[in-house]
Amino acid sequence: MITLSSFIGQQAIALGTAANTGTVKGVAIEHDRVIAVALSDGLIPASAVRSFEGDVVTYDESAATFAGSVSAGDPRGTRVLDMAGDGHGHLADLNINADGSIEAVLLDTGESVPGRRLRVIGSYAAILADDELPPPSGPPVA
Amino acid sequence: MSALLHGRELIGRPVVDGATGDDVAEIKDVVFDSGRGEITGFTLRKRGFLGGKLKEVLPIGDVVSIGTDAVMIDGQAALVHRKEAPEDMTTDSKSNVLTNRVVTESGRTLGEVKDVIVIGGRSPRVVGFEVAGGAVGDGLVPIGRHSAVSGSALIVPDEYESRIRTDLTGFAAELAGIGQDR
Repeated sequence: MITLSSFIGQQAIALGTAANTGTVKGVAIEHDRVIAVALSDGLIPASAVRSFEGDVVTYDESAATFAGSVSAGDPRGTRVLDMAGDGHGHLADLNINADGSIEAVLLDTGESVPGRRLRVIGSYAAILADDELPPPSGPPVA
Repeated sequence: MSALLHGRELIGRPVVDGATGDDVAEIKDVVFDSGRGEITGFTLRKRGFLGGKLKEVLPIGDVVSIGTDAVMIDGQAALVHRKEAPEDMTTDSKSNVLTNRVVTESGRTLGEVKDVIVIGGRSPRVVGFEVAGGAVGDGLVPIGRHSAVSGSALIVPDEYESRIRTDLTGFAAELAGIGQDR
């Protein structure tokens, strides 16, 4: 696992050529997953990244064309709201797993919420989905 | 438990799309159906200091929640052009409950309506009025199942005169007393 703060600024190296292609400037996130990484000279899909946990970002340049348009950036400092419209402070950091999934959202209040609650990060706020309901209990219904 | 707030506190509150995380508008005014005693929606304006009025309105049925920091919707389809808005969102003078008299069933005038008191959350609704200029001074009057609201007056049971409070905390206790628990 790596924090977004550690990830941003890492050098990016293409696996085929070992060329240093710049540094990580930001990420694009959809639900609880990084879907693209913004490098100093372009956007690459998260699927091209070998691992998010290294000291540098290594990626497969043959799969490094991002299809689609997304907004990538640094979401730190973004206000955090839940779907009830109540604020939870600001996004301080993200814990990112090796596969690009978001393990946890760290808030500037000192709290953290599970990454699976992250709905979207927009221009105004990062939105948290409602807390999941506990699993049903009792005997199965025939 | 949901927050109690004055209707005027909603003015300027951002309308945030929970599907995109963008602030798509802010509340310009609360549209109130005085015949039913209910909020029917909101008029909107663009975000920012010089934000102009928007042609779209937000029907109350499309509001996901009124929170302490934002009014939440889930997709921009929630905003509808005022020409296509539900009929009860018309903003003619009949809808304006402000300055209506609040009168007890015995005919005692408690004051004029200055604002509505709203419970936020997932099922936002009007639960009272702020009144001023009456025999009992300024305060907050609950509306319960036995209140009648029209385009010209709000009739409340006589006992409500003793339930008038000046602060939202005391008002919340009175709501519980008339079965309008949050």
